[in-house]
Amino acid sequence: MKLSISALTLGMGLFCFSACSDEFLEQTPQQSLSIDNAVEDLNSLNAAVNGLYSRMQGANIYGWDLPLIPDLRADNAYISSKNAGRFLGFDEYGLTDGNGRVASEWSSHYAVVVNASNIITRVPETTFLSSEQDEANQLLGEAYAIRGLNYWNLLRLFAPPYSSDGGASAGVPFNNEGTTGEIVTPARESVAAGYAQVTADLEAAIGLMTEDTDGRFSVNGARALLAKVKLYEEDWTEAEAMATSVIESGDYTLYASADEWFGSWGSVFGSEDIFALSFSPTDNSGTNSIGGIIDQDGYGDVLATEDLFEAYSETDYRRQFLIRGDRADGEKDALFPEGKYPEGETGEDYVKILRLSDIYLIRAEARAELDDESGAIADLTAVAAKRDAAFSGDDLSGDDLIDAILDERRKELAFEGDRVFDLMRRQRSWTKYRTFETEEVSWNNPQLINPIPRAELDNNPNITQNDDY
Amino acid sequence: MKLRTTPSSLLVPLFLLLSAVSHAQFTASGLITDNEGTSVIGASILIEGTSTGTVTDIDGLFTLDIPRNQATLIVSYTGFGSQTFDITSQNPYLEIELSPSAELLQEVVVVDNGYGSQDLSTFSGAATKVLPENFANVPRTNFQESLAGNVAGLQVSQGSGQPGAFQSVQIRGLGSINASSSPLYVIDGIPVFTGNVGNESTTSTPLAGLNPQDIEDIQVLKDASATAIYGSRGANGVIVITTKKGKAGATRVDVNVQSGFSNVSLADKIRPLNSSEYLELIREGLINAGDAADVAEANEIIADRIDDPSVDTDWFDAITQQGSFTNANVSASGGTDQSRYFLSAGYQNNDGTIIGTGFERYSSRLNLTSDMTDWFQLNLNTSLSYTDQRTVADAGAFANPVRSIFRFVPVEPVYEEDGSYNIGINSGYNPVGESTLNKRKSNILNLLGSISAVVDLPFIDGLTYEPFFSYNSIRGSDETFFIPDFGTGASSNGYAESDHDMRNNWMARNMLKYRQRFNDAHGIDLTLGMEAQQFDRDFTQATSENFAFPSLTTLDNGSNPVGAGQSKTTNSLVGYFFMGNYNYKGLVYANGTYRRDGSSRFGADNRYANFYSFGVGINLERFDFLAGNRIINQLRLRSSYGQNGNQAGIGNFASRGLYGTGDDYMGNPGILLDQLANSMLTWEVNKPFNVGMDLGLFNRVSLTVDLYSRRTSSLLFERPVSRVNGVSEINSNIGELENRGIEVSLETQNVLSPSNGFTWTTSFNITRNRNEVIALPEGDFADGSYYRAVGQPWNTWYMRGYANVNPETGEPRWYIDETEAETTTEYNDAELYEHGAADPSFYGGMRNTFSFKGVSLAVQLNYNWGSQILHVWSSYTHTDGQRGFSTTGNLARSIYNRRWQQPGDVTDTPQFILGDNRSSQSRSTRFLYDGSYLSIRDVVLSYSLPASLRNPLKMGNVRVFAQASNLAIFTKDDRLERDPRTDSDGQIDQEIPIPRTVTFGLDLSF
Repeated sequence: MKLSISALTLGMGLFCFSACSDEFLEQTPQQSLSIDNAVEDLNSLNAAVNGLYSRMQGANIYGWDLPLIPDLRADNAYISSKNAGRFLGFDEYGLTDGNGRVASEWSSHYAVVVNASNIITRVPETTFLSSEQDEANQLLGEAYAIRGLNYWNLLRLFAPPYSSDGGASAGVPFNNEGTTGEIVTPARESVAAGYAQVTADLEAAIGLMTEDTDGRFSVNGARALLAKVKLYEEDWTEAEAMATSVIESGDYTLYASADEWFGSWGSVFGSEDIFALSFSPTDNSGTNSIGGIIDQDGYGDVLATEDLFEAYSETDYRRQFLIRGDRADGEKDALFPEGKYPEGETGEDYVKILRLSDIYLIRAEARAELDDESGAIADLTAVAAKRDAAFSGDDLSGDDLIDAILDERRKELAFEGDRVFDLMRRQRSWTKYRTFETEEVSWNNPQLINPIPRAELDNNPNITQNDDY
Repeated sequence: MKLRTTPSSLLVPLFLLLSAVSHAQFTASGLITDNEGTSVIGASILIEGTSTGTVTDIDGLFTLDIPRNQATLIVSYTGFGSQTFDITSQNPYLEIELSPSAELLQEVVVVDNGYGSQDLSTFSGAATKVLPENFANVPRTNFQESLAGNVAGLQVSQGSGQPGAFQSVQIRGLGSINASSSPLYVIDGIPVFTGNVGNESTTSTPLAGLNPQDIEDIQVLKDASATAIYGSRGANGVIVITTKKGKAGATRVDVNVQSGFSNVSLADKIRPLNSSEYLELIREGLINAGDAADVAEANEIIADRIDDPSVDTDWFDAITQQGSFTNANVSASGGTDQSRYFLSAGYQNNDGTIIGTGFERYSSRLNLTSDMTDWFQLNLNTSLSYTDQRTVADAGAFANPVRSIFRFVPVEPVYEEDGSYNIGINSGYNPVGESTLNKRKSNILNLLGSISAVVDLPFIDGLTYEPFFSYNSIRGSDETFFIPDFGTGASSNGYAESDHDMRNNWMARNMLKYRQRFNDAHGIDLTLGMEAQQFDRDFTQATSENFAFPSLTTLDNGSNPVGAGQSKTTNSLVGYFFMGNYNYKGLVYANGTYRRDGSSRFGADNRYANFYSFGVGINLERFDFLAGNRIINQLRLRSSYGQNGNQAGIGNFASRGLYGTGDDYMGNPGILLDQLANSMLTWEVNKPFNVGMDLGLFNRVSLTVDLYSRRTSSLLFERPVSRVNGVSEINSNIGELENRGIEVSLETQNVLSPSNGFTWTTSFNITRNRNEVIALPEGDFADGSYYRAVGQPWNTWYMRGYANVNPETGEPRWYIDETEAETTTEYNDAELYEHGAADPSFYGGMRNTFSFKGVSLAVQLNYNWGSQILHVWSSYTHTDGQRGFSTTGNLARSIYNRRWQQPGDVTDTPQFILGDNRSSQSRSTRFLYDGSYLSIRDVVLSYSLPASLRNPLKMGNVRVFAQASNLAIFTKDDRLERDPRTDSDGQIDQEIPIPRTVTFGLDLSF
């Protein structure tokens, strides 16, 4: 026990007034920083940017929801009839505005956005040594790229696809000012304004970054993301250009064999990875992870559909990431998508956010739309032929070519968080598979878009709800 | 286990001390009657020149140990004044007839607020004393539990039946929203920390280390006059615990042993479906879903999906056990006119009714008072206790065994055929295995000590200086081990955690007191003081994984030391105070208090605040027109008003804008925004007003009625904000709440017998409290299942209105809106609206005591009426098929009993359809119940040996007893399948049920 002099004085005498008691009442936090000291030099900037990545590891961003829910909502996955109650609202199209997972997706993404905005607004007010300036710029660029990524995720989760009406629908609110001391209640901007914001953030990031570190955003990461964003925006020219710049950087190579492809999953960065999020034991994801919900030793509630299995030809080695078996007390002869998340319930599988196959397929689709069918077929073949020796795309053209590219996206990127978004932006219908039933689903089923959470509606008078909630 | 020997080794000096103390010279006894020959109950008898005394029993009889060969006894009784009688060892029996007197009585009843005692007859506040019979011998670990039903205006929410669990207490309603509504606990003048210690248990409290047998009395302070001295900590009432002190005279030794067993109460209501019932539902569900055409097809699917449908596990039996309760105490007290002591040692073992739960306590106490000179008195109070609470996973955790009682399907076995635990269920968490093999221990070593003095200052008669210094050291240590084989520890191949939670609290207080009576008319009592108190916490935690041997559970045995952490925090408080009491001949009186407090929790600009109270009273029975009145023996009117504050339950740095550390990435340190700043954050301000009356009739009936209101403003509140701000709330002072109500306490002596015959006494109390939101600066808002609106109780329910099942189709229906005119079968089409409040209309307790010739029977009933309570986990247990074949998809009994089966069935439970997605299990009034109940809280049957039998044995008291606690509970709502005793928020959780305990015991004194 440590007693300060003033404390002792207080104890011993009746007549010690404000001076010594003021000192006695002065306590400082031991585990927290004042907001004013959060971004004030390179050291704190580094920590603040690490915090952004850490927050994205959360279960309701990349730890669990983003890689899983887009496949669950579409035709790749379903919840076992033996389940612990998770994700049923997404599987059964039964979301309500009180859904806790949806609320956490909303709040988690905005936590990243606001922390990024705090960095973006404070760095210009901070003076760095000239020797530190490049690193500071890199970190600022990462903050921009992360903010862009999170805004884009919010747009994909909570608003209709850009392609449905050219971005005219309500998108999501912005918070670009960060923590100012004022409580904000912003209205939703249009989807088009949202895509403009994402583009601006990514362009700022591209102009600032110089380094390329595994597990973090780089210039190529921002370009790759911009290519994908432009694809969703149907700006084919820009998508093609961005994809080309990433491919031509030469920093990444396509997995050339089954061994390389299978070896790229788990706690590793592969040669295709442009941006993947690292997970380690100290991140404490455990079973609350994409691996944990798939692993039959963990929750094991998520199963792959036969339809996905059938999508792969017998000569396609990727088919083997789906492992066939009986779910204990559940479905017989089911498909466990464990091959892409081999670390399972430890939660230590890296989550791939952007990788080279995706970029090739983005460029293939953009080129097909730009009537460069031979270029499109070349890009498609670059990926597909490496996975399935029997693949030939020579005869494809027109809608068949687009269909083939979408199918290839499904096969290559299954359980990486793309499927429902691809189907929605391309306005396709599909069959939803469940244990006891199937359901025909249209791309514009309102349940495919999250409700704005009840907590936001209650506390933000300027917000509006999505259709049908 | 080294620590355990420490408390018991304290016993050694105890017995050494005992043998050194001399015995009484002789025992006086006698009978006291009034001038009409009726036995007088409760007359006080004091040995002149000492503080030793007794009171007459129900027959007007008394016995008193006299340390000398002769003595003068002062006998006093309301309405009869004081009279003195001499007694000698040659003639130790007295029959005394009192004659009525108009003289003012110097009542011995005092109220001790922790800063000193005050004559109750000149006290303008509302305070209730809890008697030892209500807490001392009852088979409950924590004295808090025994407050339930015994104090008007006080509610105890026994959320968990975990032995040793902290009990949530509210005095005069919910006084805070996001800060704490808990009263301040003061033990022998020391405001103490009462919250959870360590990391493993969620229910531990240092209060469970306090041996109820050591408590002399518990004073519950409720209004401004009573609590203003606690300033910034008094808003939600104060519970002042005074432990026993020695009295001059012969050594008295008390021995108490008690032992018994306990079971889960309400077992019939919570027992889950058996296999035949469950499978009947599944078959029906498959057919209703169209998955099977008939029973045969359904059976085929079942055979395909369930390993062995013939298994029939009763998870209730697997998870529950017969608990036990054992308590043993020994205490000794006595001393001389110069030095008095009280010494005690106690042991308790309490095994819970859920496997893996239990509590053990070793306690000891030494209280010393010494008049070192005629002007210097020294007091030393020390207590040391060690508690060991064994807990299980709780709330929504997979390993929570209580959860599994309700949720596990009966067709899953606890064990596989080879005897190993079945881990093909519940994601591998077998709760029987987890509760049996894992270790979750929360130990608390609690040292509470104070040293204080009373110094009579020279020159001014009646002026004293009273320094007081206290130290409380709470050492919490958790031992946690999760076996590698399955469940919680599986993913890490065995997991151990060691936590050390060291909480120090020290306080220094100085007081100048002046007490004087002028001209035999003006009584003055003044106190001027200052105090400083500091609470420190130093918490360290280390974890380790990958264990080879389940029997070697310390950190070193894990090959992978995964984590270590430490956090420290401090808060400090300074107070300056003044108390003044004045009375005129004991007829009329006034009390005033002023206190200025400073707290480290608030911003430098808003750090200090002022608190005060003012109260007046009149003792009408002391005026001539009522003096000696044989009907009204007491009529006191009193009133008080004031302002006190609350700062409990918020973080030590709640006003600051903070980034938190620990958000690391790839091994590099990271930070994130934690909390928004609010530099204006300050105390909650509570303004209590009270009018009270104490009425005594025929010396047999005493009635206390208090009318009160208290308005709390500047509520400390985590105001939810748009999540676009990056956090979900900001600490604010917003809004106002008011509680107003009426408390009635009635004590009656219904049948009195002059000769040890049949007697019957009753004590009864009832409270009606109305909680109301007065202001919400940003208007009414929905908050989950509550609607927070001005003019209504804070905990007003808000959800979709369930309209029962369409009798023709079996579909669930909800009301479209609050008009309840139209229904819909689409959950999302129904609007949310309000449905009453979680608060009861009234609550209280009644205790009847019957005795005849040494046999005594006491029965206490507690009741609560008119609350609405919500079953928050019903979406898992009350589905209508949504959970499918899930191994945690067992169904509540009501689903089986009340499901719709054919057109025309009128019920609240829809048709059972497997794989259903009609949202009928989602939150609605379907799961809102009437929480009204009547419980048989305590039944005590005892027999005391008559003096003729025990005197030859030289025994002061010999009593055998049987005691049942929580014997039965009757609920008004037949639909309710859980214990209605929820926390004040009205939520039924997956907590350990409150047990029914039956014990047998023996009290001896000599």
